[in-house]
Parts: sequence; C-alpha cells; structure tokens
Amino acid sequence: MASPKLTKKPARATAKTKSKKAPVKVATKVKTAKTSGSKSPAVALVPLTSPLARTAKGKRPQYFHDPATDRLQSMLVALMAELSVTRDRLDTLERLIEKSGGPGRKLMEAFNASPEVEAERAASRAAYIARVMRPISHELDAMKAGGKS
Amino acid sequence: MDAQTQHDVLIERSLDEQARQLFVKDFRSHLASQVVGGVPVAYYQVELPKFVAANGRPPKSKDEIRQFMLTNPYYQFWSGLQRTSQEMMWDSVIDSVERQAPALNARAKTLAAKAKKSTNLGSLRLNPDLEIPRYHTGVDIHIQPGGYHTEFGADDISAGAIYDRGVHIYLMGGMGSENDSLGRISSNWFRLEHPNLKPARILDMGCTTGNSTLPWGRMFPKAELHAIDVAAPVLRYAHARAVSLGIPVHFSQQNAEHTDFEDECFDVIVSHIMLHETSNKALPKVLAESRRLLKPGGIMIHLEIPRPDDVFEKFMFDWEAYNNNEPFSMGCRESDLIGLAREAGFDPEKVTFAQADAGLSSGQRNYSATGFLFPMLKAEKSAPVSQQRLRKAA
Ligand SMILES: C[S@@+](CC[C@H](N)C(=O)[O-])C[C@H]1O[C@@H](n2cnc3c(N)ncnc32)[C@H](O)[C@@H]1O
Repeated sequence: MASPKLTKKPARATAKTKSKKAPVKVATKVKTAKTSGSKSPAVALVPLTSPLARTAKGKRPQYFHDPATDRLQSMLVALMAELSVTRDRLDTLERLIEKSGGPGRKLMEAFNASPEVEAERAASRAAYIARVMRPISHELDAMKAGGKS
Repeated sequence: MDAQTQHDVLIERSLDEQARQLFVKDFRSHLASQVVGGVPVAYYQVELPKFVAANGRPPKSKDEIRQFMLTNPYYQFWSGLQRTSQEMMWDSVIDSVERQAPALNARAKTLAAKAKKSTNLGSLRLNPDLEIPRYHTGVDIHIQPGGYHTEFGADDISAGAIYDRGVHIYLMGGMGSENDSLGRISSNWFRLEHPNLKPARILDMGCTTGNSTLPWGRMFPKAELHAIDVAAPVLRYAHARAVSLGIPVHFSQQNAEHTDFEDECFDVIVSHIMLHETSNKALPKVLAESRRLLKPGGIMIHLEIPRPDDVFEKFMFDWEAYNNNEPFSMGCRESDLIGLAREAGFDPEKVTFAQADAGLSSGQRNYSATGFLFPMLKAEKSAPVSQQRLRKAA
C-alpha cells in the first residue's frame, strides 16, 4: 500500500482561523515536489487575488420536509469527518511517541498548555467550528446572492 | 488506500487535509457499498408494491418513479448524504489548493516556461477572448465551486488542481492512479478495432486536466497529440501536469463546437465524458466539427456516461442531473447518439456503438448496484471514392 506523501511542514500552517474575508494566505516557500527531477530555482509566487469559491452556483435541492433536517444531516457528517481527522492525528502522534520510546500516554496526561499553545488551539477550534457549520454559511451565501445562486 | 500518482502540480496534503480527504473517500465508499444498495430495496419492496396496488400497473417512466421515491425516507436520507459527501469532497480539496495556490501557480508557470524552450514538451495556447458557453456559466457543474472556468487570480490553475484531486475522491480511486481509466478504455478499444492504424495526429476534446489524454500519448508516442478545453485554469494545470509526467501534448483553449484547426487534419478525435456537459444545441455541433476535422478514413470516439436500459437504473443515474448540477446529463443520456452522428454526415455504415465495463468495485459505484458501463460512439469518416480504391489496391 503506497502511503501518501505528506508535507514535511506541519499542518499548523493551515490551522489558523479561516474566515471567508481573511486575505488568502501565501505560502512562504516554493517547494518542488519530491518526485520531480527538475531542481529549478525558487520562482516568484503567484498569489490568488480572491479566496477560492466555497459555494457552488446552482440551487441546492431540499431533501427533507423541513430544511433544518438537511442542515443537520450535513453537519452530522462534517462532525464525523472532523472526529475521524482527529483520530488519525492522535493515532499518528501515539505511534510516533511509541516509536521513539517516549512515555507516550504519561506525557500526554501531564501536558500543560502554555498561553501561546492555548491561542493556537483556539484558532484551530474556530476553523473547526466554521467547517462543521458550513451548511449554514452555504445558506447564508445563497441568501446573499438573492436566491440567484 | 490512497495511490494517486505524484506529479509536480498535484497538491500536497497536510496531515489533517489528507485525513479529511480520505474520510470523504471512505465515506463515499461506504455510501456506495453499504447504503445506496438500500434504495432498490426501498423501491422494490416498499414503494413499488404500493404504487402497483394504487394504480394497477407498474410505473411507466423514470419520472413517475422519481415522483414517489422523492418522499421515501430511505431515499431522502441517502440522497442528502450523497450530496453532502460531494460538497465535502470539494471543500476538503479546496483547503489544500487554497493554501498552496501561490506556489502551484508559480510551479505551473515554470513548467510552461520550460516547455516553451523545448521542442518536445508540448505547448499551451490560451484565448482570453473565448466565450465560456452558457452551459458552463449557468451553474457550477458537479457543484465544484467556480466550475472549470473561474479564475481567482492571474495565471491561476486552482480549478485544475481541485478537479484532479476531487475526481480521484469522486470515484474512490476507481479511475486509476492517474485518473486515466477512461482514456485507457477508449485507446485500447481503438487499437482493438483498428490494429493497423498508426494515427499521426490525435485530438482530445474537453480534456480538463488531460487525465484521459495522456494514455493516447503513451499508446502512440510518435503521434502529435492535441487537447482542447474551454476553461483556462484547467488547461494551465493540464499542461504543467503533462510536462511533469513527460508526455508532450499541445493544449489549446477552444470550444469543441467550432475550433480553429484546419479541415481534415486529425486521424483520431476523442472525447471522454464531455458531451453530457454541453447542451442540446452544442452536441450536434461537436459531432459536425469532429467530422470536419477528421481526415478521410479518420476515426472519432466519444465516450459517455453510463446509459442503463432498466427504468429503475435510469432513475438512479438521473440523481446527478437533479442533485449534482449536471443539467444536460439526462438530455444527453436520452439522445440517439448514433442517429446524431449520421445527421452530422457520417456514413451510417461507419457508425458503431459499444459499451465498456470500467471494472469498478462495489465501493466505487456511486449510483448502481449492477455496474458502470461507459458507452462509446465511434464513427469513421468515409474516404473519398478514389482513395477507397487506392486502399483496396494496396
Ligand atoms: C467531465 S470533464 C471531462 C474530463 C476528462 N475528459 C476525463 O476524461 O476525465 C468535461 C470537460 O469538458 C469541457 N468542455 C465542455 N464543453 C466543452 C466544449 N464545448 N468545448 C471544449 N471543452 C468543453 C469542460 O470544460 C470540462 O473540462
């Protein structure tokens, strides 16, 4: 089983709050893909001038008698996804610690978050919440588009 | 399991992005192998007997089936989940693309510059004045936000980057590690049917990321391979991807209804799941254009989305039309492709139709328990009588 190539850079880069209004984050370095043979020098980045769209143009069908049920269903699956992501992360961590012979569980239980760590966590929780609340933001986008989207 | 071939413009995934994308893929696999199979149960065991009892006959059409299935709770729940999974698929990929877009765009530029200096890495020709057809600007097809054509900055390749990863998740890896199974199906069929033909010039219409184009380049490395699409961001991506994977392709931004290629300049013209994303008006034009561009004796193959015979399966495959912004998929599925090819001027005796099994597993079939058969329309442009004689003599 080919395991996917993961970025060396930790996921932290993405864990910042992601509001739709926020300017698009610019990666700091151009990385050449590992498999590429071309060792071209770093070139100027080509940033986006607007955030990528998140809501597709076109009316979303209503599946249930009460539209709230539609939203709740989507939120439930988003929650499932986030829990799955967390479990994968935790699993990675526990295995790494185990592999390095560290006192895995014990260390985790004794961990005290510093204010900086707490701030980082708050930002990542905000992004998490926004993701689970996506169905609502879709509805809002649609209302803003005046029923045209 | 995740085995998509790495290349220079494929997004990298952070730990969480990867986990999110794999969740969507596994969730869709679960829907396909464990949930959607309940819809025929709901139909045959619950709704159909009720309908027959009330009307004294089985439903006459897929639309009649749709009317009462829309209120079936099981169908509703599956449908909602399927739609949600499609939305989450794009969202999970857009996270990675948005984060990396500045670097990806730059990398694509570098690869394009490299191709420009070389004679055997293909080329890219964009036309900013090309009008994007209404059937693309009306709604975002398969709810990819922004569709194929929207640009979010200069030299943007986002739509291509999103599509390449999205489509891999869409069929749960069922298109192969390069998303190229459809191109392999069409090119293998071509070789089976015409073992002695060695095409010198080949055109792929509606190429998107060039995923189905490259198998033709691999099969016929000496051929001059062209590919067109109406959307610039996917073409920039396709070009960079092809350079990275080492297959020379000449990409250009053109509408397949009327291109700027000369008459009779291609030996083979193909398209893969493009026709159903055009329109009633455009489809005959694409066939006529294919005929204009083919050399005498040239072959066209248009591979399309499944068109089942069974009325219930038809209803199932219509799901995408109603729920996934594929407005013309129904019209295309109902259209008489053979008849249209004849109307476009192809000799009735030279038009054939076949269906290919894409070999998808139960966890990869989104809408059907019985299988995914991809229909292919093939037509040969008759050679002028004089040439036919020459050939016979040879
Ligand atoms: C579903 S994608 C095809 C993907 C790819 N060929 C494959 O095999 O996976 C359809 C593509 O056709 C393009 N397309 C639709 N109408 C077109 C037209 N009239 N001329 C050129 N390209 C068109 C779209 O922009 C889109 O990229």
